Amino acid sequence: MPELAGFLGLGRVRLGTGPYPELADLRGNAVDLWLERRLGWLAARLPLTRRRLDRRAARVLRHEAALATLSDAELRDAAQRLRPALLRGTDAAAIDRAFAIVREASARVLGKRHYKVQIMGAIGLYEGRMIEMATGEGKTLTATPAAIVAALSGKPVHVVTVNDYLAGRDAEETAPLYDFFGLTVGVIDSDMDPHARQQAYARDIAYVSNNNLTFDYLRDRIALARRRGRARRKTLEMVSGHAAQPLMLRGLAFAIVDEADSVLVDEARTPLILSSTADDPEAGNTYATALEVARALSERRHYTVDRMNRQIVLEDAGKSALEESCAALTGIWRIRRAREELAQQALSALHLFELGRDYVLLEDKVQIVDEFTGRVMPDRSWQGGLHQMIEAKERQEITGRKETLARITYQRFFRRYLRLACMTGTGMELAGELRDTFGLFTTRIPRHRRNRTRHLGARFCRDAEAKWQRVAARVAEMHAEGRPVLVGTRSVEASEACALAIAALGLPHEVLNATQDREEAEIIAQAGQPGAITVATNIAGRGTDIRLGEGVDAAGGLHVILTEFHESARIDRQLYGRTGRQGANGSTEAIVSLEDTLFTRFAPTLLRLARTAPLPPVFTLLRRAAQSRAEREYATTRREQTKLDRQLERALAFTGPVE
Amino acid sequence: MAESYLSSIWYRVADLQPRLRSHVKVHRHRYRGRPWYVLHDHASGRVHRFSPGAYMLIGQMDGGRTVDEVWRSLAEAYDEEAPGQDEVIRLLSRLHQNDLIQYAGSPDVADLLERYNRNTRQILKQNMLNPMSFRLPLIDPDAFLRKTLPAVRPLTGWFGLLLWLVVVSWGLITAAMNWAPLTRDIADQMLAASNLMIAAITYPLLKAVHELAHGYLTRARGGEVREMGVMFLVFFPVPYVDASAAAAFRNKWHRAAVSAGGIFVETFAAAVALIVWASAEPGMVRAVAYNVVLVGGLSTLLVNGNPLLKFDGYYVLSDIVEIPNLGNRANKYWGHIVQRHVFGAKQLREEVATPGEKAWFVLYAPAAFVYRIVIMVGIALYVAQKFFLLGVLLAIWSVFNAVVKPLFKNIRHVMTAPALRKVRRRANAWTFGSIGVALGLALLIPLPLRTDTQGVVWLPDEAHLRARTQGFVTDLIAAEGARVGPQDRVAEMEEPTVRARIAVLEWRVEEMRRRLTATEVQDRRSAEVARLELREAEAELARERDRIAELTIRAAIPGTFQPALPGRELVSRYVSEGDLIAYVLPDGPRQVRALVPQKDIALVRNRLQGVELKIAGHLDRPVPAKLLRDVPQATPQAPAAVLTTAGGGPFLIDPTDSEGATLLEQAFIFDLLLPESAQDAPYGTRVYVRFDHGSEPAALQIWRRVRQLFLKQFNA
Repeated sequence: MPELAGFLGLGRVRLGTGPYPELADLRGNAVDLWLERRLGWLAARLPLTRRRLDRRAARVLRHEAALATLSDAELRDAAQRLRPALLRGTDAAAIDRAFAIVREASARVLGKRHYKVQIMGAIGLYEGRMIEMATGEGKTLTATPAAIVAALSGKPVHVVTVNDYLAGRDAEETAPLYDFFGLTVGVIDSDMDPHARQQAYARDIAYVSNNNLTFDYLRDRIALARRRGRARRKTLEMVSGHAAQPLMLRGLAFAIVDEADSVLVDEARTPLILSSTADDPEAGNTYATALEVARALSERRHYTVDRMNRQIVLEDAGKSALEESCAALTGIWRIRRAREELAQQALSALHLFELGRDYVLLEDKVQIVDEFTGRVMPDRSWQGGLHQMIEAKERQEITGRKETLARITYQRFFRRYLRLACMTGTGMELAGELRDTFGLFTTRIPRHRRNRTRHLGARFCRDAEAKWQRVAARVAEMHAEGRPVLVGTRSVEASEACALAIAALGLPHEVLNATQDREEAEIIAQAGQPGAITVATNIAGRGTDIRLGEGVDAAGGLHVILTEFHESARIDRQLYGRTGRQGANGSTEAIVSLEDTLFTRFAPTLLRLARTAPLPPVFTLLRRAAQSRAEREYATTRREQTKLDRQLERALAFTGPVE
Repeated sequence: MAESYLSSIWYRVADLQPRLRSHVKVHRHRYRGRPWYVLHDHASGRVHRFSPGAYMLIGQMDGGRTVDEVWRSLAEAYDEEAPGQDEVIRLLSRLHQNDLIQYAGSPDVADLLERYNRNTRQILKQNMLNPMSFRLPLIDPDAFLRKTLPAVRPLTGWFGLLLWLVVVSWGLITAAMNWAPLTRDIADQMLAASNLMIAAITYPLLKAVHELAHGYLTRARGGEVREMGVMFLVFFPVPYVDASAAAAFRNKWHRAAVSAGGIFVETFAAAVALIVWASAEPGMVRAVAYNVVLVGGLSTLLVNGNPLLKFDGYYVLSDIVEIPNLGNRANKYWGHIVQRHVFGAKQLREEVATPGEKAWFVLYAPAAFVYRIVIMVGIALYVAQKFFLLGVLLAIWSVFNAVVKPLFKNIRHVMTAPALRKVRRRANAWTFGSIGVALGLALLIPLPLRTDTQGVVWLPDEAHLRARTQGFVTDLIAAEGARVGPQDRVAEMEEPTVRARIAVLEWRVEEMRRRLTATEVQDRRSAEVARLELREAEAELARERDRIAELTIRAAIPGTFQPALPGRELVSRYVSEGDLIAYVLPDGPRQVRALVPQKDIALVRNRLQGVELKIAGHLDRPVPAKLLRDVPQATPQAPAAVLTTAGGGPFLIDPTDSEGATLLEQAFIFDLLLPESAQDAPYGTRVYVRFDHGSEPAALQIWRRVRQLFLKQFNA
């Protein structure tokens, strides 16, 4: 049965039609997906894979003594001799040996010999798994053996990071090792022209950020249009007499995705849209009029705002009010449904999207802030005119109507890799979902050294004011001890409020907002210096380690303060994970307010109880209940979206093989 | 999901240049006064119905203009009425799924293969999931039908209808005249081994003609019939013909005629068979005819011709009322009503339907549901009587299909459907709340548990004074209402011939005695004969004298004398032996004798909490009663005729008993004491008896009955 292809690893995989290797879209039915989800959850919690990886890593480590005696040239030679065996891909001994050779080379070239847990992780990656490794365990280095072994077997390897800066930095750090084996490395930067990109992808190993990679893939798809098949492409070349438009990628063979939970889950909520901007002189007026009309409506009487589902519902009274106010207008305003939709959108822009929380104004442009990560997503825009509506609201230049050329979700894109490997600090919570959506099994890799951070508990303040006072006081305490402090906030707004409170105490501090990746990383790298105070949105500067300054470890290490629980406990764990790297000392605590939206939105009943009975167990219950409700809700949304996406794709089969 | 006017995926369809495939023909039909466009795909033989709005779009697709151009021109021309982009995309998707459109440029082969594979799988899956109706297409009967059509053409028109009407009317009249023999033992005969053997031959033959009728009727009206094959209905091979081309006919009566073809043929055959059966001698011919009547008549009435099941009758109905897809749309409409009004999902779009259609939907869905379950369970129980295991499997399968599966699907819909997202809490609350309430009512809320039966105001046998011999009543000694004791004379009768006969016999005795005296000395052998004759005469005399004694009517028990007729009428009336002359109404209170059927006896014996009576004539006035006596052994004799079906009561009488007094199923006798207030109830009056057993939740009561049913039906 074709439904079973790929299910539980049974049957043969279906390749997509195209000039380079990639998987066809999965067709699993509801029962399969349900089973896969359970299976993924279970597999992540059983220690079977971890034990196997452990045994295998031990075997790799046993090669150490023998390889140490070889010269560099002999080592290189040994690697080249393994290539035929690696190409076949079934010879476990050869793969083990290859890993050992990379480990030895890394020690010689980079001065870093992989720890056993890193080798475990590398083997896991090579097998196409989701590897959960704690922050600071050296994920960049862990990726190298898997990338090199895959590249030696001739596969184009993509190492996917969350931004350009990290791509460049990781490539730079590891380039000497690749160089040792004669493998070429390419780095793709957002500013590169198509030709340069193509050349970068042509290298053995390409470091690229997730959105660049996906957009380049979409460009390939547009270039191919309906002529995907190899035969068609060749025929076209023969008939037209010139070579077909060259493609960017060489195939979706093997990808190692760093910070996979944020790429595959958090950012996967909106599809990536490749668009060209069409000039529409009317547009500006239309949006302005829409806002004007919408402002004239009053809440409750004309419309209701559903904040939980982020929807505006236009009431009948609102519809007739619209009809009256648009009676004098022409064009699109005469069409009832178009008019109501525009008004609804204008209302959303006015009441559901806030400057600073949902978007920021950067370089005179409206840029979306990711709700989950607080990160600015420069290449994204809201669909269906909403973006333009918000531009009109903020009186920015209207970017013009976007003509969509192609769109794809990360779910669909990464699913097409023949082998997908992922790394993250926090993946267990998502194990089931990663299995049913991406076919990934999650394995937790143990720490190299024991974790020594202490969690000092959570303090619930009555309101935001009290919270910031408390945070500032704690920062001052830690500062006095000479310990560095990292304060994590949910939004740009919050980090400013926090900075204000700290400044009031006259303490020197750095504020980190979702701005530039490079500066972010530099500030973050300094956050471990004695007495440093850093206020940052939750995962600003993610991917960069906070190295402790001299004497800090003895003083108690980095202290992390969480100021607002995230909807997902996973993101909280990420923040806590910034301290205590490689077994260093550290402590974490949470200082939150009962006014936080997490509580008001997801556990209003319990919140009332917590206000009347402010007891620790009630607070713990409140957090757990709110977070689990939020996570359930989001997981359902994601599942429904994936399902809708699949249905849509099936329904759109008639438009042919375009994205 | 609310439909939006502008779609974010419009770019994928905007530049397509679709047009209808060349083999797709468009017909304009009217349904309930509104125009619809019917696309007839001659390649697949399938028919698709589109609204005028959709056709505005389809009609403009010429393979040259892009979808975007077409949509824009519509939006400009129709404004308000124009379809939204999402609707356009859905329409295109539907057209594509059904292979009705093609695009400029070469087709996407991968997609074609994919769809072909999916279709093949779909059919296989359908057959696997529903082994009760497995379809196997075999031949293309079109050429055959076309060639043979001239032979049957007259039958496919008015003449055929008239002929059918005449024959079926005749058949019905015959049936009415032979109703009793026709319906006797119908249940037993149907699944008897011999009848099954006959059915194995007549059934497929009848179905073959049935299907050919569909084919010919379609062909005669210009439709093509391209598929014929075998369908396995409950593993039993039955031919089928694909007459779906008929749906493209413009005249609804033509469409209905094709759908009704099978009903015509089967009822016609049943009518002919009935006439044959009525006039034939018992034998093979009669057996076969009877079988055809059953298969053609009964199955048409209950299943095939019944619009509540999705067979021919359903299609006839939906053709005539001009609501294609009636069943599905009715179910959807109900779903919509529940979701919108009970769950409060206001954003859901209403199904497009006229008020008339809605009325049909509201009535049809529940009626069909109830009928389907009744028929399925009925068939299963009936089959189970003969073939236990098969019947039980059938019952499980049908209950699963009719109740469990839809229930499960609906619950899943309530819990997961994105459309209900905003009202999920309310939807869940209503769904599980109502299930909970239903379960609670069934399991927890005690309902009164009672056994209802009938009894009679009882007069003991001894209270009836009957004539012990024939004769004239000459005198009533006791006055009406007088107290009499046992052996008191109450009436005298006179039988004139008796006295004469006694005189004759006395002389005869005398004669014999003398003859004996005379012969005793002369002839001892003759004397012996004379002695015997004397003894005989004396015995006869004694009997006649006794009869004189019997002419005196005496009371058997103490009580109040009550003549059966007023005294004046009784005196000098001639009565036969056994005729009722008077009653001696016993002293003491009146009693009721009630019959309790076996199935209820355990309840009545073990959980009796009270008895309540309603006396015929005073049904508005229930009176309490006391249990006097409970006869431990069941009796086959009906205590009074009023309790039997012949007397208007509930107890069945064994049809083999010519006297009509033996019960089909033994029952238990209970004697109850009538209370003071009801002592005036006349003897022999019907009494409705209610044994009260307290209360018990409905589920337990049902469970008890089901268990009894299984016990009774299956002995298991």
